[in-house]
Amino acid sequence: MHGKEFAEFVQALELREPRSGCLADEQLAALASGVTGGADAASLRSHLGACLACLQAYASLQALLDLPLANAAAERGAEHETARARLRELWRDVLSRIRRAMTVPIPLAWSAGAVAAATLLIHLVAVRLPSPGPAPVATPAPPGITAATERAASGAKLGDIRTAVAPDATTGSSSPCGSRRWRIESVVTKNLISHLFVCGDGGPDDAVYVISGRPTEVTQRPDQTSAILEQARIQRLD
Amino acid sequence: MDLLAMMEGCRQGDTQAWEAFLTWFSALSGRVLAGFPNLHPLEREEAADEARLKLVAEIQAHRLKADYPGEIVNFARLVVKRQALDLFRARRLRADLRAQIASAEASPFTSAESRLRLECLEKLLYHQWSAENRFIFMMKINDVPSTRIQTELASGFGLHVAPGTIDVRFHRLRLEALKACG
Repeated sequence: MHGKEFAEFVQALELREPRSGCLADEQLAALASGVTGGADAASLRSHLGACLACLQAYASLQALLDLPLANAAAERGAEHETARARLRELWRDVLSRIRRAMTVPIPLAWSAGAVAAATLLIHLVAVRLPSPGPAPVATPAPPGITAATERAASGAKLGDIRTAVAPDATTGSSSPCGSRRWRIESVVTKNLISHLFVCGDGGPDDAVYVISGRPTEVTQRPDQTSAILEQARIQRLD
Repeated sequence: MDLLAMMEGCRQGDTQAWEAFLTWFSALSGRVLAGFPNLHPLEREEAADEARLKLVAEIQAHRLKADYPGEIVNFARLVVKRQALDLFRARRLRADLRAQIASAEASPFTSAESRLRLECLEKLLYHQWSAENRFIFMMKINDVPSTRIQTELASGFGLHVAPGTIDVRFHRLRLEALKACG
């Protein structure tokens, strides 16, 4: 009996339907976090001694409580760069998935925004990120808007991307949208979440930007655009 | 940043918090799905992807509230586990999928052998081992660090042992399991 057999044993316990009298998930979480005390804890532990399924759930919770968080590494110099390099690798993974997805017919129901986001991601990875080999150390982007990429949203295809003149953050007129309406969208890919700043009303001339920082104010009022960009910055793409 | 701070950061739209979340969730889903060895690697990937999307939606909708880290871990674990269970159920319904993953499936003979071994292991745990040995064994096969098991044994069983002793005892229990059921 080796690791796989033990894993099968765990699986068999995980697949088992809970019986009446089994501990609730909340009770297990509280016990594992150490917030249950005294007689309550003793009672819960005595059930763990008699129920293998609950003991399995408890052990699994205990194992998961010590998992690392990314920012802890990010705060430690060289490890920060390692984390960034890892993120770049994840982007490459995203690229390969998008490429695979684009080889099959795209349903008509897909919104133009989704196509725009996918194309922007392809641009980020295929055009701006280095392909295999050691990734260069990224220089942190300075506060404020540094550069932007603009593209047409409809009829999107690989390479259909134009570079726009970067708006000047120091003048205070930092909105790249001018008087147009704007919105912030979150794009969730396999392992990353990007915030996109989109100018326009979902038409073919929408412009899409990648934001880093904290886009905390999510509204569609053009007069609040500057407030947004004081907290967020458009990511340097080149 | 702890788990609670990370969740708060995600709710505020903090990019660093989201990155921390993704790294943490990737490790968590990998660990949980490792307990489902009979899932095909592609199924595991699918389960992790689906679970992540659900969790992100819950966080963005501010529906995921927790008072202590265990609640977050528990919720994430359950979401991943339910995705894995859904895949098992879908597998039963779709014979064609079964054919596709045939290479990863055990033969009927192997499957029966495996079931017998699991029953044997369960009997061993319940009827022959003490409560603390059962506890140590279950913790170790779930990859809980020995230092955490040490704390748990002290608070739950009044048993004060060094981490090294826990490792040695698990090694012996594992050999015993091999001898009895392997």
